[in-house]
Amino acid sequence: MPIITGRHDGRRLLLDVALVNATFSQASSFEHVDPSAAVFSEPVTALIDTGASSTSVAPAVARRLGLRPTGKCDVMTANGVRRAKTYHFRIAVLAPPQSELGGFFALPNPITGTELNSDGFTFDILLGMDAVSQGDLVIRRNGEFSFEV
Amino acid sequence: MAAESLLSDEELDRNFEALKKALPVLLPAHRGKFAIVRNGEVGDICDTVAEAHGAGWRLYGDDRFSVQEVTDEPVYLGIFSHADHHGTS
Repeated sequence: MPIITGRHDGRRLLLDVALVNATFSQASSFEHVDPSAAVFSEPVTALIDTGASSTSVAPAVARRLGLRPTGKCDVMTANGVRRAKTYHFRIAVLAPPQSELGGFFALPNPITGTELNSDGFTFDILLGMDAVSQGDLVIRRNGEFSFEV
Repeated sequence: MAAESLLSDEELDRNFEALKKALPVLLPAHRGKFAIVRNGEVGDICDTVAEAHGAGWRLYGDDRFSVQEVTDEPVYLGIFSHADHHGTS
């Protein structure tokens, strides 16, 4: 199985990912994404956040990627509950350059992404536990991390 | 990804309200599953997101429907979702 590796700065962990159509496949494990066979977004920067239950997308990023809202949900915020659009997609992570296969590998399960309430973040999407829990994440004290999918 | 939304914001809200209204009936047997909702009416319940999109297409012949998780729990997006603006986390 591919292992995505990178470095963290001790504060945040960023990862290059792409968004794949939720109905692209129903594979039970990771799979190499063939861009010619899937509706496939440009790479975006994801911040891994194990404190978030769900993945979320900045509004401007959703527009840029042409995501189609599939519903609404209630979101808990510091100021109470607000309503937000939802999107369905699968996360594909970028394999390291030294990988024989290269390219993106899709996590097995579609997720329901929630629209953030504003733009201006230093990341494009927040990868919550719905996505992170589909792989094995290891954060090392030497500044490296790995995500096996 | 699809080029644009086929459902207006008002339609999405209407479908979401319909789901919330139906939750007392749906939750006991379908919590965590996915409801297909169109024109303010719940059409079917599926086990997965992918199944719901496929079932909606078969049921309605287009994609002018919402796919809503059957849940009464709000989503928690964590502190970064409102604290990271301009790198100020």
